[in-house]
Amino acid sequence: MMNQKQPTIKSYLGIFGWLVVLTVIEIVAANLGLPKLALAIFLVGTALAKVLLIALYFMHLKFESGLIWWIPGIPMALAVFFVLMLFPDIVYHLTNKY
Amino acid sequence: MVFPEDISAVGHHVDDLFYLALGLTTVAFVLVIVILAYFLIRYRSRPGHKALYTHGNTAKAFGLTVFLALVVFVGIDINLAIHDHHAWEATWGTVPVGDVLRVEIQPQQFAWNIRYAGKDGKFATEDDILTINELHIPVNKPVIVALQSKDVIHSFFLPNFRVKQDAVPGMVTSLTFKAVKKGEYDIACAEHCGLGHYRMRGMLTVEEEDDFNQWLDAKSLQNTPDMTWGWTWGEGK
Amino acid sequence: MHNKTSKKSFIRKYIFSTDHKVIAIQYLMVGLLFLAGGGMMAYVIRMQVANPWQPIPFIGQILFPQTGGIVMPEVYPMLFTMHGGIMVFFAVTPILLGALGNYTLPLEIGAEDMAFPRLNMQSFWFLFLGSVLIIVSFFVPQGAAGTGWTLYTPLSSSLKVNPGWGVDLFILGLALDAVSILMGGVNYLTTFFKMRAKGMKLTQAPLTSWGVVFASVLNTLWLPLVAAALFMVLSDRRLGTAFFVAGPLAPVAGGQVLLFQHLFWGFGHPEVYIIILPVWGLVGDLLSVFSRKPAFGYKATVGCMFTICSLSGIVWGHHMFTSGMNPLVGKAFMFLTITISVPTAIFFLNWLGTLWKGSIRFTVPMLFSLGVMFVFAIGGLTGLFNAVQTLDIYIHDTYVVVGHFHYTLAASVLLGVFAFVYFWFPKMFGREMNQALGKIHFVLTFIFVNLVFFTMMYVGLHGHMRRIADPTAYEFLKPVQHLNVFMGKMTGLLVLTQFIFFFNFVYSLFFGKKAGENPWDAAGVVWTTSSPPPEHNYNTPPQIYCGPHEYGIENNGKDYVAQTNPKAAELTGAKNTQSQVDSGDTLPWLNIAKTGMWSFLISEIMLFTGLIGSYIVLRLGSASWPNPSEILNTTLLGINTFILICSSLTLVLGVHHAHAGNQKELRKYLLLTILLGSAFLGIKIFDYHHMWEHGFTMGGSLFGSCYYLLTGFHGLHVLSGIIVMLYLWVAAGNKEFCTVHSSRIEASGLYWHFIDLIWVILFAILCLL
Repeated sequence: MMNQKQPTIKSYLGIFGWLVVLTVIEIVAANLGLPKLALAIFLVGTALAKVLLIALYFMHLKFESGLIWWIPGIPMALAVFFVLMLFPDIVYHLTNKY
Repeated sequence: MVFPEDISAVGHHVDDLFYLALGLTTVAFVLVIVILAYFLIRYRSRPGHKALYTHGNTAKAFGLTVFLALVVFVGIDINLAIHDHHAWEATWGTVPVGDVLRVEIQPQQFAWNIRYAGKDGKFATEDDILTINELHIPVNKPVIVALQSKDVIHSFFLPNFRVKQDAVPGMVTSLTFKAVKKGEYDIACAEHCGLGHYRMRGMLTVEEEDDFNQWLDAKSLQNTPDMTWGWTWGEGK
Repeated sequence: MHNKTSKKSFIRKYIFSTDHKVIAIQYLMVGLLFLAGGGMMAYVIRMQVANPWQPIPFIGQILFPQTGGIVMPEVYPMLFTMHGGIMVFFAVTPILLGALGNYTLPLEIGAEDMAFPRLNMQSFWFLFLGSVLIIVSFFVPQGAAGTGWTLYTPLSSSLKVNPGWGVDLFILGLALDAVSILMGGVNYLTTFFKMRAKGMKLTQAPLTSWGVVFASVLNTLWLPLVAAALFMVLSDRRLGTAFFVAGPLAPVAGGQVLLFQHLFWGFGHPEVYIIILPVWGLVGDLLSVFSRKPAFGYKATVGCMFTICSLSGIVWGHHMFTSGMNPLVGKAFMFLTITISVPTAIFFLNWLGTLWKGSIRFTVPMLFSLGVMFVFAIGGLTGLFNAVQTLDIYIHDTYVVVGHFHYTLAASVLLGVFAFVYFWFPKMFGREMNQALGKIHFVLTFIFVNLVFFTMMYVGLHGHMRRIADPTAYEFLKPVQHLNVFMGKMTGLLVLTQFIFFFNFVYSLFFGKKAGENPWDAAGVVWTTSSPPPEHNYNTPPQIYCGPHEYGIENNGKDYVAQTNPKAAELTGAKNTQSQVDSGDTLPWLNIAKTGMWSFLISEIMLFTGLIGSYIVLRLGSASWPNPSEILNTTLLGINTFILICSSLTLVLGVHHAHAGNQKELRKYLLLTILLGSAFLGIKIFDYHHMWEHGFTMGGSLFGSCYYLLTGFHGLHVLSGIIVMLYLWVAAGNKEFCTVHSSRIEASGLYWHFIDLIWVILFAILCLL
């Protein structure tokens, strides 16, 4: 539980550094004129990486009991389900039509 | 008579489904209420009568409740779901092909704009025949109605066919039905659409095919073309 | 433990009180007032349908003097809209969650108050403000909202067909109510999981508490989804967007009408479980008290409530079978919906099990609980008719649906409300309600409720549509119009009957027989304290030794063992002796401040799911989408991203120093965070202004609408964060605050990092992609 090493100022600065680097990479990638799908996959990846860094270190999730992951985990799972259920109607327009 | 008159080819599936559900749920309900009433009388508080101390947490108790719940689930829920599948296939699940009458309807606040394809068989052309609130169809012929609202959501409801379909702006929806009896019947709007929602009544006339064609010809003579709405069949706006 | 006797002014004691008991009573008063108002509206609605365009008997002249007591066609929709909205959000929710939840939760878990008493007080006043807006909405020029409480778009979101401020005020009133409910959720969840009395295991909490807790979980998760949808409706109305408008009414392309329904029912379905879960919990407890037997299958019942809670969020499509929704998706929703039968049947059987071999006392609360069983059996079973897709298509938007949900709402929930009031009145007010009047009230209410709503379902089977002001406009409805007349009369009698209750309630408040500590011979810990309880609930913090349902045991002339009886284990024959230091804290690894903040962040995750999720599907469903880099100033946005990341760093360093007790460093870093956050907002405002001048407006394109909505909402959250940080910076001027309350600083920091996290997502998928 809380017996893990607590984060140090140095580690915070390190995470900060990574966040800045990732941001710069994102801006560069967006200006390369990549095909949309490739860019989307890349940006979702970098955004996910940044989100994890913030959540794990700044929001302290890495240093809490593992059980805490249920708290953000459940709404995120429900969120994914909800958005996916919108796809047939809203994205693919597969509404009831003969 | 619970339901309004059924003049459709397949609407009875809906009625049958209802009566099945009614029968099953009534059995369950009566059983529960009889047991409840019995408990209330038999176990009422009176001198010399003690309550049984039990938490009902044993595996046996839990197993019994789960078993009974599953009996209900399979006996009623799954049963209904299976019958629904068959009812669905017979009603909404199949698109009629061949000799079919196609009609486009654009509901608006507070009337039904109806469009027939005319002699060229194509919609959104100059020879389309238009009516307001008057839908005529031949008896014993499948009809497909395509709907798209002009403003807010309306719902095209034919109680005597047991079908309804919301008409939504910005997209086309459709439904299919076939009449097996002649006569005049109501078309109702079943989605609240504003202050005139209650009076958005249309008239459905089911008649012999010859009479239907005569009516259509008569209408086409009075017709003024209206190209402000209508869409190519099978496509969107 | 508190020894000080606080001499509070009248205002601090009764108006702006942080005592959960006072707040609960405030909620109860507001809720009962709106219940009466909503009930009056129901009477008018049924009389209009019974005798269309005739003056409404008795109260017509007072309500509609200009028309001689006649309901006009544009007024009828306002009646059924506000009836629904008021009953759901301003009557039963305040009564069951605000009053029942607030009053009973701390007491029944042996706590001295809620985790966050001041937040609790604020939550009531947000409800109050919301209800003011609702009342005002009746008096604006174009009248109250007339779209149905379901606010379907485009009828609700297009100013062209729906001018006036009725809808806007309704939405704003709901928004304030939503804030109130979410604040409540944070409080209830934190209190239940962290602050139970010593020795109270989770399995020893009353079922009422579990009902309130599960309802709060659902609120926390799903209310934000409809909040997102309603803000988008407001935006469509007032900011020129067209998220939910398509076709000729749409000012700009790309909107999708069905999206609103998915968002609304994504909340709307869990909402009905939110409303009924406290009733299920209460009935479970009451059946036990008045059968003098433990609640049968308590653990299974809690498990079933949890299962229903989980399933309720994934079945919403059964409200949309006729909407045009994809039929296969509909089939999937049908199958998910029917699975709820299993846990519902199990806990209903457990109710029967509680009665079985009991010693049943027919008190007024018991009568109402039994009444709930009866009407909920009908309500639950009629749900099956609606779940079956092919049948539902016929009965959707008819009175079958209205009858079904009134059986589960107006009947089950209403009877539950009465069970709550009759049972808890003595504890709350120190006096007893008249039992004879209560029994008459029960019998008459039960009879009339069944007569009205059973007839209603029958009429619906005939095809009678809902929400129509004049059924005689249709030929096919003529055969059942006499039943509408019948229902009108029965509704009048039902409404009249409630005067018995209101009279009993008010009379007993002042002249009722004084109540003792335990008028019901109940075993829960709350019945060991006075009626009403002292300010801090218990004179000494209770120690719990068993569950709250130990009835049926011989014990010193009584037939139950109280929860606080040290000999409980041997008296009940329990296998394991209770550890006296068993913690009432389920989350020892998460302090109270963080528990509260994480509860709140769940809502924030779901709010942004609603907003960002809508953006994703609207974009993917669009024929085309512009290239953001051609419109947005990516450099400026990049700088802003850097600024926000810096602010997270400064904040996390500040928290680090707070834990170390270093006040000066903490304040320095808090100030830096505030400055960086303000810089972010300043640049954003400059950027907005610049782009707007160059033609990139909110109503100009779907991209514009999404961009300004998402970043605007984010900006508002940054502003809130800055305000919180300012408060902390000021509070940190007190050295004690920094050390004693460093957990609050850290918890507040979580909010800030979450905002940063949201920006990270928006920057990637909205601004760059």
